[in-house]
Amino acid sequence: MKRALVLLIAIPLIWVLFHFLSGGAVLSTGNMVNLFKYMTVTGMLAAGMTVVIGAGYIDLSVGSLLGFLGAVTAWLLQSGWGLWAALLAGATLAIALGCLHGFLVAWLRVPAFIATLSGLLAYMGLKQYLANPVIPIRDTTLLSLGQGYVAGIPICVLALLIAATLCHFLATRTRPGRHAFALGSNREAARYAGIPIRGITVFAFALMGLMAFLAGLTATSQLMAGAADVGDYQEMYAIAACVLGGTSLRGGTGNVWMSLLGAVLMASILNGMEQMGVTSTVQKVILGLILTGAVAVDQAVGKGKNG
Amino acid sequence: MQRTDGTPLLTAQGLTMSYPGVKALGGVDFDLRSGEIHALCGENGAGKSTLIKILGGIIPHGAFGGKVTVQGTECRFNGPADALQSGIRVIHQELALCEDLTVAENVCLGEEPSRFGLLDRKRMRLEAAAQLERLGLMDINPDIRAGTLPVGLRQMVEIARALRHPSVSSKTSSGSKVLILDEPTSALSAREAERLEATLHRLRNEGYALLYISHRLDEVFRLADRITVLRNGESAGTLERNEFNPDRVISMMVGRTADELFPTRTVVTAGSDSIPITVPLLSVRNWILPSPQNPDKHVLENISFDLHAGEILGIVGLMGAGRTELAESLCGLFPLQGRGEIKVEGKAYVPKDAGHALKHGLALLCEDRRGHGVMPDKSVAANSTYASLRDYCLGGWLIRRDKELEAVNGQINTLRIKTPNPHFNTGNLSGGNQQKVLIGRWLLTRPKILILDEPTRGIDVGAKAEIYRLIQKLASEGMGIILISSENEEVLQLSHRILVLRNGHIMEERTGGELELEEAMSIAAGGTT
Repeated sequence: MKRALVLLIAIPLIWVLFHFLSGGAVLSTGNMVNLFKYMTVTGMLAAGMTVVIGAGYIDLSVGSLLGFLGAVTAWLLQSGWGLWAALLAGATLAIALGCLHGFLVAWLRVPAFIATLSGLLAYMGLKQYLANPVIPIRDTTLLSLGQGYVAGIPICVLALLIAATLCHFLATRTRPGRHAFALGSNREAARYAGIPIRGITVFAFALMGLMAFLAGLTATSQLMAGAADVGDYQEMYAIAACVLGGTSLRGGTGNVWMSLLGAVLMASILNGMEQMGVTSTVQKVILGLILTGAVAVDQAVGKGKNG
Repeated sequence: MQRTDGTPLLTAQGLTMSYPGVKALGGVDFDLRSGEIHALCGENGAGKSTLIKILGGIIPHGAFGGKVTVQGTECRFNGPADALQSGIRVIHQELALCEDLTVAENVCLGEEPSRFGLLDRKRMRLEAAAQLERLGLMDINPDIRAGTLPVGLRQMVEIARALRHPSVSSKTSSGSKVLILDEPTSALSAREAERLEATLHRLRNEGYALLYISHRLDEVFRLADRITVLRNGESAGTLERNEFNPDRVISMMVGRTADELFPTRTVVTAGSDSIPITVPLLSVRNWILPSPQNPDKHVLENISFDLHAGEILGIVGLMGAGRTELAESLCGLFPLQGRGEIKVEGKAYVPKDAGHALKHGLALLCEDRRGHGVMPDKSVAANSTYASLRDYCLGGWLIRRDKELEAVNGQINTLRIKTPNPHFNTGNLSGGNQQKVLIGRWLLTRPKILILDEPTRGIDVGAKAEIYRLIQKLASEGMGIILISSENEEVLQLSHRILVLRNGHIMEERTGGELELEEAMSIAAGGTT
């Protein structure tokens, strides 16, 4: 894993670099905790996205979807549902919508790009309708997901680690996960090998839906409310994290932990610029340049298969 | 026209090339003359591909040792475009057509005729038609999408494109005229191969220098003026036409003789010890398969046959006779449903998809190893178990890696797959070893019926012999095997029973050993009935 080494060296270097550029603001405990709290939502999405991209698909809906699912949960709580009932309902809805994406792609043969682009639009509308006005969260258990700490570690970071472990385990140690990456590597060969392509497709999107739900809970909890703009553009950050982690958009490759490192790298750069006082508009431009630059360097070095 | 025998047009001196950890070429010398067909033979891994990559400019100047000269000047190619400029055109084994463009657009690709800066479609069609005519392919419609043509014809379109390129085709051009063909006939039917041979003869007489890479020795002997054999990255020698001798070439390639290639056929008759008379493993009756292009036309017409346990059933036929379609339709991989009656061990079976076929004990090693077989960026272990993964899973779900690895290591040993370890990327193995990985994939499903469609395509002589022995061993253990191959000799040599297919009909059924090559070909081609 040469790339893992590169990322593991690059990330601390970026911290140190921005530490000096910002006059010593980056390498404080408080800021590091903030940095990791900040990347949890992207990280959760990237973990699921690695499997979706690995299977040769893409899911553009997850940003809106996480906001929508967060808003639904907040609305259910506001309507007097108990926490666990609301969570169960939210998770069921998330998996159902993931399965719907899988169904559209596998059975109706709608390209994943189109099916999930439609989802992006639809959930954005639903989210804006539902979260207008914003729905405050008062449940302390749910709030602790975004706000609480265990032994000094933010609970949301722990949740991310659990989610990533789950995705990595599913991707590498189970039959559907192994088959998902086979699908992305050579779809026709997968068909000839008797791999149940449709079922595997639904599996990948359903897992993505579940990760979007967890990300939605985390984001809503961090914000203490279901709001209309929660999750906006997160699908792009998640895809970027996967690419920085070495996932090929052509499918077949990808590693959940590497995507997480990609997310940390991205968060580190954003956090560093934040500490330097770079405005968020400029941050986006720079992030875009860095993403393309990283992939270009990757291609030039030769081993890269990004695309 | 301008046959200038004797003067080397292209010379390679002391070519060396190393990849990390592997020496691909260790000093290759050879020359190519105008007006000759020069065959390049050698096992997989002998260095043929590397040599072609150097000549075609894919490996740039400086990355290899030694030198290449064309017409006396040293070549310093930085890429394929430079090689093309010097008149060297390579037709690679993997076809490089734009499948969504028409035949005419493909033939003219990169050099489209234009008028006032706009595409001149009329001239494009005319030029393409002229090129196709030159190759004797008047039956290809220049307006049809290239992707809809069978593989054999796509290859011909690619040759038409190569010949059209100005620096290669123009007779007035100062550029040399070198055409390198890498396994051009591996996907062609006998008739198409014949056409190709005629074309190559014509090009030779026009003064082209042709470098011809092929695994098929009979073809090489018919066609070539000289043969250079590579072994382990070095030239094992060049033979003139009067020195041609199959045994000699094979021993130069592998260091052993041809007699060892085909194992002796075990005689199997129903009722003997090895095959008790029981219900056939597979029984196909009146199997009809409609054509995806034209629903009124049938790809297969009233196909009926039985396959018994322990039997190798060979299927001979030209490309387009319906051999692959038969194999795929039996496993539910053909786009349309067939009609008719199929029984597996006496029980009715309706093909649905590959997974369903595997459950009924049917496994298909398909002809398109790259397109439909290997997951190139996945490990040997993963590739081996894609079709049988459930067997190594707890609850059908959780992979038990130790069990999986045990099974994979078993396959690596019995099939003698040359891989550094089970976790090695399958795409980095040689063609023969990739094929063995795929055979292993199907054997791990423990099929009752194994259909082998072109099992030895594009693999070297040594691996072929191993696969032949394996086929016999599997049959002797009671597996029913359907063997489909364009290399008629291997079907005739190995099969206990042979079906000859022509235009979707079974024309002839014979016991193995009672059908000679010439007769089989003539039945398949429609010479006799």
